[in-house]
Amino acid sequence: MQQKRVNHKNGRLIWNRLDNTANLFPVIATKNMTNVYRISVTLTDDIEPEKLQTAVEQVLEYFDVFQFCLKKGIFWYYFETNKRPLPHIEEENLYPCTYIERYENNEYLFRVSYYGKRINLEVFHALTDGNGALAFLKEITYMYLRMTHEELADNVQDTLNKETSLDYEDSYLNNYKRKAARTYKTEKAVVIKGTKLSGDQFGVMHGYIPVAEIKKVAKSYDVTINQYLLAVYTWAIYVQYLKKMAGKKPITISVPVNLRPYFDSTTLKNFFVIVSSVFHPYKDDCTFEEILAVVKESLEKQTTKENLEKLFSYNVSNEKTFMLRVVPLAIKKLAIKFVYLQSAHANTSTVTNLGLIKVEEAYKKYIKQFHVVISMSEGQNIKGTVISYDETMVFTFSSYLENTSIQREFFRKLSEDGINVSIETNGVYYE
Amino acid sequence: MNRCQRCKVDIIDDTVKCPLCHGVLVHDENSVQHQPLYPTISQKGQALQWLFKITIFASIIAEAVCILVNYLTTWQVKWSFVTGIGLAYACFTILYSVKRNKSHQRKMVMQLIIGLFVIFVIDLALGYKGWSVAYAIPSAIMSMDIGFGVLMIVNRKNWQIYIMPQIWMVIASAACLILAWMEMDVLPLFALIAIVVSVIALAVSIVFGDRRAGNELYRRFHI
Repeated sequence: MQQKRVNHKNGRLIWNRLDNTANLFPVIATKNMTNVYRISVTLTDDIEPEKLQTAVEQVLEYFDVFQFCLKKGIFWYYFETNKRPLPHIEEENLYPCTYIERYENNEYLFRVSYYGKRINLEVFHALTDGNGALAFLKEITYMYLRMTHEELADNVQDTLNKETSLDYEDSYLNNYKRKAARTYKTEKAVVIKGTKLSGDQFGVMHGYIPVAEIKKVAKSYDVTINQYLLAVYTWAIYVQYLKKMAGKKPITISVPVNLRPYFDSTTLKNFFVIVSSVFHPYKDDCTFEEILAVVKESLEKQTTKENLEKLFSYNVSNEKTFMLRVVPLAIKKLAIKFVYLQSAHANTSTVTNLGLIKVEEAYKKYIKQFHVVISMSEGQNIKGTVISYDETMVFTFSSYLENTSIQREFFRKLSEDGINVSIETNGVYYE
Repeated sequence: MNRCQRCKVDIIDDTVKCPLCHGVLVHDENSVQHQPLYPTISQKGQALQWLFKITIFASIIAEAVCILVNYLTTWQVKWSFVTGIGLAYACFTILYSVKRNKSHQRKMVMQLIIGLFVIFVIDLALGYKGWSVAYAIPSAIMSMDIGFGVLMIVNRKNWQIYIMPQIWMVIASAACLILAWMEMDVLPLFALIAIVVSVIALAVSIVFGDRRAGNELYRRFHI
């Protein structure tokens, strides 16, 4: 890369406030609720660790957000440029989304590892959301590919992609307009319980789905792919966990929505809100079509710009209130934890969709697949992610539970609808 | 690739049973050997867990023996309380020092706070003569002041991170002075020296630290 700039290793120290969502994560993060997610890219060739280390170090110099470490102030947490060297990149030897031990990781809030042909980027959610992490991972991958495939030098420049943003504004604050009413829910939802996997085991199950086939099926139901997947997931919980019986508690699936397209933001920091697909099992033996109609309506109502703005404005208005700002961090932490635990049981599960990943044409032939895995949270022992690349969509279940009946019902339903599904796991279900 | 006839899905893993229904898979003779996507992970942290358990168990047994001996011999002087506090402190030191999610400044400050508390309780257990707040605690605070000064010199690139512990030392020495003053008729000299040393150490850091010290305080106290 030619355009090197002054970086943290030359003494430049930046500090930055946490964004509105990020304030939550350091408070609630534990070994079991790590708030770490993983985005992986699988290449066509085996990874060369030394070159990967160099690629990460070089790309990191441009991404101030990923250089941050977390510090504790008297009133707030804050980010500060980390002056320590990047830890040595190791072959994968932990389950996905394992807690990032700050002091073992030289205080970096992300971790890069590799296994076979795959590069893993694991990020503590306080730092950024999936979109920010994806931008960083893409640049690491491009840099690594330029280092390992000399023929690329003829086609691409040895610099960052022109579409990559390095901006790290607090888009919540910049787009907040007025004080809004409380939006977070406290109505208790169905909690999926069961025998847990042994020790610190973490189950991962990827379902590979042809994009063209799922598109066709969703179209035949007159819904979007996301609505269809959420309805199938709700159906699987209704059939396997509630045994098709009516109940008082709803099946509520949280869906993080990327706010960048709605508010014209390119920030690398967190900028998302959570909407929910809510299905009340009001009677026995509901049909899939009935669930699909409820899920569709529930999501359509919530994904408007006005509603999304309302969803984050309540939290931002609290953050801006002087009387709350001067409360010491120790007391704030208790209050945040209390509010979080109150609302945590309002969700059955989470499904996050990173959408269709596009990569630069020159690199395409070296990249085979992307995967996303998210960690568990209070009351949620199973979660899902979606990511599409080229002609394949990957629906990934991550879970602490031994039982895979929900996953089975989910994939069987897709198969019944005429979609060809291939399954791959991390092996814990065979042990 | 193998196929599960019941779930009607293909299974990429190199396995004989379906991860969804545990049914036996139909093996495709033409499929190539699949490279596993994930490594086999070994369970970690078991040794440390055992160390914690053994330490706590051994401490409880040792203290029980001490109480028994104390009861059977010199019950007028309750020295077994002192050994109990000492063992509890030793357990805390072992368990807290191996915690991976705590910084070394935090470990030092916590060690000091618990250490001071232990000294105070020992004084109480031995009939409270006030020597803990008058001499022992101020000496410990001054040692920490010197320790942080040394660390600032050693860790010159990042010296400003020790300003917050210095502030805690000023607060601790002020608390100690008030306590000692309440107990003694005259001004406690050691506690007074401790607060003077702590304030001077902090003042030196702020005055000579210039903008770096100012920025550190601004970051730590930003509202």
